[in-house]
Amino acid sequence: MTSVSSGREAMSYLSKTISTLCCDIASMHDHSDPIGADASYDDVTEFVVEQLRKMPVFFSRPILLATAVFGVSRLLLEGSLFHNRPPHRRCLQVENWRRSRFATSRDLIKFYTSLVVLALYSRPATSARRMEGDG
Amino acid sequence: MAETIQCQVAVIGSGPGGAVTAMTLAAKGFDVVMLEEGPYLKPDACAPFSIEEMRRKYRYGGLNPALGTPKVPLVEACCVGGGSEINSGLYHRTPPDVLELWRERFAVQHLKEPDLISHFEACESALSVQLNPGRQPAASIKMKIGAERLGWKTIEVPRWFKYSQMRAPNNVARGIRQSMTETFVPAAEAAGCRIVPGVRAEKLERTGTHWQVRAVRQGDALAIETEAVFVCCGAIETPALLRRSRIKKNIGNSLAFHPTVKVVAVFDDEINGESADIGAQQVKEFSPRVSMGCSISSLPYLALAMTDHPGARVNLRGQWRQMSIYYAMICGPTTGVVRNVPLSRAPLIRYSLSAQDLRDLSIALVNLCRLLFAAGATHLYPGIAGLPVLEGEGDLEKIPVELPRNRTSLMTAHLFSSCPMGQASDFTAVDSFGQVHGHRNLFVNDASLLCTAPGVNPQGSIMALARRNALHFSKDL
Repeated sequence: MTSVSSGREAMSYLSKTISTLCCDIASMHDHSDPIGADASYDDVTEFVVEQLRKMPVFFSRPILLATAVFGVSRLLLEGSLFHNRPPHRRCLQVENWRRSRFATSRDLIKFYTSLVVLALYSRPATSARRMEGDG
Repeated sequence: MAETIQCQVAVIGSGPGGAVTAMTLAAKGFDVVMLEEGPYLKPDACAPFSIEEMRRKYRYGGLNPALGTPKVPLVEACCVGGGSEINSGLYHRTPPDVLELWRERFAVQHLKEPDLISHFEACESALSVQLNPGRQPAASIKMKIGAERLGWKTIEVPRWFKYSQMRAPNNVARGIRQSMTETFVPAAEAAGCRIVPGVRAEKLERTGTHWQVRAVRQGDALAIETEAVFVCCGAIETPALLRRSRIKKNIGNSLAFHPTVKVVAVFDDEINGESADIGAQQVKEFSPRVSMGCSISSLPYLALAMTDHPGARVNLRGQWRQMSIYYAMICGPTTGVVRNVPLSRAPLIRYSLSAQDLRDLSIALVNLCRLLFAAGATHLYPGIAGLPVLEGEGDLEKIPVELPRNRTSLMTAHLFSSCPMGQASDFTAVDSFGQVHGHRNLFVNDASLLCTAPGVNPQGSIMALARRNALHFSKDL
């Protein structure tokens, strides 16, 4: 039972990390709603998770491992896991990993960014009306 | 107890190679079964080049990259019709100099241009290969303008599209892609071929004079007992299946593709629209080593391309109609390797690009940028992370002489050569007509048997060779 509950906790942690990371990347790229009123990115996260499931396991497992590391990195300095931090601290970490001198870190952010952006910009242009109003 | 299907010929894979093989043999009276791992979707099941298409038609969601530096995303289809259901529809015959190379280096017999003309013509007729009768997309016209201003050779490439007589505004012709599900697959069915989607072939076994295909359908075992097998799963899955079947000599050791680098170009005028049509203009000034053309430029793909430039001051949703993506590709080396991995359905693909390849890609990219500036582009964003925006010819020196391995975004949609054909059996996998060396009545008949990267969109070559080889088989049997 202990290993089962540990496994569930691990999956929950990973799910929260992925979801939070996808939402952060989406909001960083979503210029259609600068006010942030329409900030639900469940569809984006769902697409990313779906793609992760389809990937060959020898790619998806290292990505999930790297994601787990991403989520706990700076735990000692920040005092919290990634998904529990305030948005501006989270965005700073995303940006630091994107610019990292370590290819693994850059590749991880590039992977999520690519899928998030594809999903985000594939949404119907429901926010386009707002953009037209902005001129 | 596995369900069993019996036939004379089993065709594994329903892409351009498999569909042509199945139709050709069924029309000759053979009892043909065509297996396909993916689903049988209607041609209009999803919008072309959309994420819905990625979800439903791409193998592994489009996420099984070739390992190397840089990693290269490989796009493979997994549905009835194969790659023809997701590609651009651009058509080329095999260049004569490529045929000559294959004859001389790989000892492929009966491969002069006259040997293939009837096969090219038959496929072109079946696919309605033609030039766009209407106005080309504006992004394509820009490519033509740029090339003409530089005095470079440029062509409009025909596509396998059927065009409506009616024209949209601005004389744009609406076309229907003549993929395999529109053409050869229904023709094969009409000729008596049985098509079985949702079946994954796991292994091939010789049983006396016959072959048995061990497969799985929705978790249940399925066995196909047949006199002959044509493996047409594509340049990655064909060698993977053969290697799982312990057929390994020169199999999966020489995968090639066309490494491709892209540029996002911004113009003052509108060149992009709601239609996801790809421009057919290509620049052939630097052929056979380099080719340039237009790429999918829908808003999601523009956004994806711009992730290499996160600091760029581009209002994508506001400006995307002034933007388009162009590519430069080189004729790649045969350095890719396909290997099965224990406990994984997906094979592992490794490849390497030499320093010279990266220098040639750099030159190709510089020339593409020159062309786009000549066409009137105001800003260029090449697929190199960290590279500043280019705003004129003077900025071209910012492109590194050798594309940086760790910062360049490459891709490819053309995969071939993993089971090369020819009589030079020291390094070929199959003979001049696709029969696997040392294995009677086992054939490869897809992109795998192209000896090297052809330097052009490969579907025309794949289909003509498939027809040639299928007809050769039908006379021998």
